[in-house]
Amino acid sequence: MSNSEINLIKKDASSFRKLAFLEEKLRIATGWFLGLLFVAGLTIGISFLVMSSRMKTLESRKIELTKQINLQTVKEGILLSLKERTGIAGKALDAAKPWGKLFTLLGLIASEANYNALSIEESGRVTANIYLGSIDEAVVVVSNTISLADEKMLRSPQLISFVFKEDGIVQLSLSFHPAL
Amino acid sequence: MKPIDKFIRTYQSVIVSASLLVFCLIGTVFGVAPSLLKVQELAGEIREISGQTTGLQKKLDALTNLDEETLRRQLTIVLSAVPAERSFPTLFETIEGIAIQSGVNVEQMHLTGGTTLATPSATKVSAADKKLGTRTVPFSVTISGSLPAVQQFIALAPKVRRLLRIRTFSIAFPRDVRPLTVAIEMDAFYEPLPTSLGTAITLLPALSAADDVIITQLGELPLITQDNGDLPPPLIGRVKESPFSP
Repeated sequence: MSNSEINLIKKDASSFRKLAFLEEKLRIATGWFLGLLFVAGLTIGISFLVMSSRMKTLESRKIELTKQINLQTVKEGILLSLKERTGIAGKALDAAKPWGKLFTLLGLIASEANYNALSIEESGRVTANIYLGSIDEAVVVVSNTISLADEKMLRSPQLISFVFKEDGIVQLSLSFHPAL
Repeated sequence: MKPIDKFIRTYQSVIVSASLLVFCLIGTVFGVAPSLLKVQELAGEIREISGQTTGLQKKLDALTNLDEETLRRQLTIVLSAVPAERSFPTLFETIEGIAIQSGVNVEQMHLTGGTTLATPSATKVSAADKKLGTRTVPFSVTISGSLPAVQQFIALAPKVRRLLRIRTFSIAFPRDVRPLTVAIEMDAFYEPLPTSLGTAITLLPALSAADDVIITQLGELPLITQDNGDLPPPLIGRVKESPFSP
């Protein structure tokens, strides 16, 4: 067919209907998408502006507060030093055992006159050498030690040596951890 | 009519709609999504700064409510118990004072454990000190006196403001010779002051009830040294005039 000729034969009507249907759907979808894009853009834009403004306010507030805190560094330094040192002093107080109470405890084991030597190790273990006039007295001393261990006033008592001399004198060596 | 013109004319509205859809898609991918992420990021930053500002406000309120004079007095008490340096003068003075109060004579006093003369902050903390949680000056003191006086010395030594610890001692009770001579190994505690503050947003520690108990306990201990009550020069919040000064 040449260009000057006109085709008067009617085209298939169903293809026109399909195209019209597609056009309609596309138009609706496009409208929706454009609307959503606009709303989303607007919402995001407003949120961004509001948040930027809030951010600026917060930042200036933070700078202001930091300045005010920096004016009180001496007070803060004293507080920090005090807090740290109090913890250290607490540890030092715990480490410093009241050894004065030991002498009361020793008095409960044997008479002061019976003690010959006394030594304290770094672990806190006490070793006492005691001279006694008879085996009966030695039995009393051992019995006292056991009683004090039962009362939790001392722990892990040990009889290190027991010497019975010719003149009837008994030499005892006891060790224990006092509960101070 | 060219075929392409014919195609455009036939599908004009479809092409326009499709182009707009593509525009929407591109706008969503390159515009909306990154902006959304940016807003989300901004919201996170706001949350963070808001938290920091609240913390700073609390810190400022806490600092404002603290009484500097009370803090200074409490620090003076604690520093007289555990000084910032070895402070040998107060150590000797304390031992002498305890000896006078208990009625014993100080025969000898040795600094033991290879005490270095370096500044406290430069010295290494020994394993024993690490375990103890504080630095110590180990020393030994030989005292002589009657048994009750020696007992008094041993009882009094851990109960004075310059905190001391008795590590070991041994007593021989001679039957005929008096007075007793006793060698006591002791530790005196010290700890350098902190030299730096955290940043402004660092949380401020609060003194707990246990801390108050310790401060009260220390305040009740007798102070034997002639303390002038002055605090050491502040190390925190001060810029040294000379970087070579101690």
